Amino acid sequence: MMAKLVGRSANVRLEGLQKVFGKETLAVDIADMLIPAGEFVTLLGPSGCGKTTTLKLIAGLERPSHGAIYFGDQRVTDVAPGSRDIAMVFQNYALYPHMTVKANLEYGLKKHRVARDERQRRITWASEVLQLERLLQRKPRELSGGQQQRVALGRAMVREPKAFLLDEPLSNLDARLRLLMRAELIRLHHTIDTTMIYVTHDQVEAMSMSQRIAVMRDGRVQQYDRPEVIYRYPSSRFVASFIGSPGINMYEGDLLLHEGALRFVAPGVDLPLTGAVVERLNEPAATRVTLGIRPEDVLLHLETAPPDALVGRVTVVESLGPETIVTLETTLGDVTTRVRGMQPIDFDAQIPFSFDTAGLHLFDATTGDSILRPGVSTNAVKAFRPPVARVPSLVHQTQSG
Amino acid sequence: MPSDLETREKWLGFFIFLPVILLFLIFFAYPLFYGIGLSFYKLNTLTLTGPFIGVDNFRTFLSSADVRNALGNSLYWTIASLTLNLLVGLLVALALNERFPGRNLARGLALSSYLIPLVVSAAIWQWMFNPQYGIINYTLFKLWGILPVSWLSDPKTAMPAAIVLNVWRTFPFVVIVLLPRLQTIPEELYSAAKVDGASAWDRFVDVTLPHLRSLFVVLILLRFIFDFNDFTTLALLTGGGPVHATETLPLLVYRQMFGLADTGAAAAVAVLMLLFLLILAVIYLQLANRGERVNE
Amino acid sequence: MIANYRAREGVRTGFIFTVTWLVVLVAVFPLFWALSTSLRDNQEIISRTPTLLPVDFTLENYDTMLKLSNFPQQFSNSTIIAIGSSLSVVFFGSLGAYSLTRFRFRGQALSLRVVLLTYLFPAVLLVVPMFIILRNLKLTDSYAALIIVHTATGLPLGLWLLRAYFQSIPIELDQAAMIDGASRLETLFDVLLPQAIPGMISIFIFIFVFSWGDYLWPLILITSRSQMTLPLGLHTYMNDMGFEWGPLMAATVVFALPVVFLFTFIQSRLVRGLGAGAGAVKF
Repeated sequence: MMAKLVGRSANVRLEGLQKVFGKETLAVDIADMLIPAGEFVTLLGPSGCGKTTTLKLIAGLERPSHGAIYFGDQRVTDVAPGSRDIAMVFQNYALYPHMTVKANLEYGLKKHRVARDERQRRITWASEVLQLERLLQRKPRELSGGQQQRVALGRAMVREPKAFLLDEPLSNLDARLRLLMRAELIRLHHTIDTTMIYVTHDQVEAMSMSQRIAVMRDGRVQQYDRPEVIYRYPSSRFVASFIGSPGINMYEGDLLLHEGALRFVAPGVDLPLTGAVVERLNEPAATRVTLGIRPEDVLLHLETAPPDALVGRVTVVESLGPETIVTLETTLGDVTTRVRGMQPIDFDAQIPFSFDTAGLHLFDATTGDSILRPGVSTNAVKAFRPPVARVPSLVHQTQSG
Repeated sequence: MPSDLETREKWLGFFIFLPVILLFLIFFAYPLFYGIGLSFYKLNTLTLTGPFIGVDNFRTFLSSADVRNALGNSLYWTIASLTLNLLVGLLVALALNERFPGRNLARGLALSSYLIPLVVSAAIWQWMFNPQYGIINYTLFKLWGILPVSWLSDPKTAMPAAIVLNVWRTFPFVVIVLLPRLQTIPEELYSAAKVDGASAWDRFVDVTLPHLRSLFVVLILLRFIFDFNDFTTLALLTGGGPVHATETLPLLVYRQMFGLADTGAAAAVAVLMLLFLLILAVIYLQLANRGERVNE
Repeated sequence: MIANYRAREGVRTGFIFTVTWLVVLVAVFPLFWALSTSLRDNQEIISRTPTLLPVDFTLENYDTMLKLSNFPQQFSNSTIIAIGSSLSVVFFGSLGAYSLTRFRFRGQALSLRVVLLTYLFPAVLLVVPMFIILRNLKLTDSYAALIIVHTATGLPLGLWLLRAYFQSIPIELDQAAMIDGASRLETLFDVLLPQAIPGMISIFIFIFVFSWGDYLWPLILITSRSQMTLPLGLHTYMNDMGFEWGPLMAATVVFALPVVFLFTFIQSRLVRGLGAGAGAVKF
């Protein structure tokens, strides 16, 4: 019988949070962020973007230079990490090397004066869930990386905290194990129903596990929303290119009004903008824009081609099994696209292609901000629960509606 | 079947090692057995002649006040120095592990006492301990009104004073052994302990100390051996006095050989020391290894 | 439980800062005091109210020291012996370490353990027989005697540290040299030793410092004034008539100088090198 921890979770609020290192380095600068109770939220970004520092601030391992942190109604900015009722999973696991697995699991409970019976119950429960029963008497150095990681997870679980903080816990695992553990974590979150704050630079992890992603850069949050929204309606060039693999195709060009239609013009391309895109268009400050189009929205015409198709020369073909990634050299630049299955495509072949304009992204060429309004209401704080049977997938939806 | 090349190589390797082996044989093996042999004689130091007396030297030791005094002093000296060294060394290592302005400079200076020649240190401390003109008595009087103490001439204070010098000089050894290990303890472990609710003391006991345990085993063994065998420090500072209050076993060996001119007895005391150390070392290592397996 | 740890962090660092510099003060004071004493005249030295720094600076103690005792002679004796011993240890140690790490022959593990074992020996145990042996060889009272015993004492440490150094040099270097046509000994001199220079320097300095400050062996082996080394000379002076603290302190300062100089040179190396092998340094 798995115990549910519903109701213990707290929401975490960051207010005017700033962290300065040295004299001037502003590592974190978050004006206002709410992590709703029970949700799985990921801080995503490249190295040095401030995500780990933010996590440490939430944990209390670093003190903010300005601002406050709240757990529910309680202001915890000056509370010691051990008193915040949180648990943390570290990148290198940080298991106590001289204690057995059982002692590792028990340590935090002892420090928090949990009664012996209760300690035992929780340890038994966590060992069952994570299949650690046979490892309890071993020392960390006798365990494999995956086993150590589960122990680190178990140590956090037995604490039954208000929030779990996870600092790139999967980055030291080999690729196969990483996939398995991702599924484990998702399942765990459903079982335990506690707030989880996850830090990673791997956008696949973020996309597959989170209910909400905060994309960070240079200490600031670029966009904070559900994964689908971030994927379909990225607020900036940075967010668009950070999410999605293979990365989004980007091209600079001009927005021109020509023959009554709005067009994107670039070397070798004169693309009329239609329907949904035009509806969402904000008044752009300048005409110079960056066009973004994801590989799955680049349609390769291997059989019959529409009359206005563009043509490109095949330079790279990557046959992955379920799909093939093709890179074409065009007057616009390199265009990457993906097609289902293993297609027989020759190098140097000239293949027609076109853009599915429904999936177009447009950004101001100078500021990088999106000039399209999002297509759905975003940033709704109402809790959003993904379907239970969600399978972690490497391949993003292609040609979705 | 080893190849020609391998066989030739083996001999070359051995040949290169030969000078070391020779030096070892001449300067350790031979003197060792020679010394053990000497202990069975009653030899006059000047003439180096004397009768074979078997184990008589050792038998007299059982009743010898000199030997008992020296053994007691040796243990006092060794154990007190060792304990204080570990304490002070650990504290300083912990302090030097932190980052603060001027840390590198502080590190160099704090450990400098180890490198000053012993003769220099002994001379300076003798000067500082001087009853009439020494700075120590002066400061004690100035600050706390303590009357001058004859540190090195009073049998009660001579050993403690000598121990102070010894600890002052040798604590850097402990620091130098502990500090590198302290610096390899991952910060993450302390973070995990903090999140687990461990207090500063908890973190010291549960994260820091376990990492140092194996080093402590080595340190205790080494420092015990060094201090037990140490001749020069006390010879220079007190000469064994006053009235043999600081005469440890090594100093007794010297006195037997050159003062009492009985080389055989001197050798016997030295052999005794060696035996004592060997037995202690064996017992100690057994205990240490068993502790390692059972613990935690 | 709300705990305010902001202030605590600052206090903690301040506390550690203070403690550390206190320790530094204690460690450095004696030498400073010796320097200070050496620079004052006898009046100040025997005054009942000494000051931290001399009221009147004077160099007369240094003058006395140079003229009275045999100081310059002893200084050069010590230097010759220290350099001789250090070079010998580096030389024999390198050979030994080379054969221990790059060759395979029986008794290697045994040799290592035996090397460690020699540390258990009370020096005094060796004193008695060595004295007799060297006296029979008519080698007492000479440079050779001291260089020999210092080398023998320092060799275990040298072997130990150089072996660790050699082990960290990848064997691929040896193999490259041999493919290039170098003999085993050439490989040692052309490839390994240049790589091991930091290690050799460290050992040179350790043995130098040891030999420079050794008192026991000169005490046993040296009887004539002209052959005395500084440690023996200094101590003998303290038992001489007409002994004065001023010149003695001056002598100790000059005696300590080379060591201080060498020490600043190897400061960081010391922490790394000794710590790495739990090196036992027998000073």
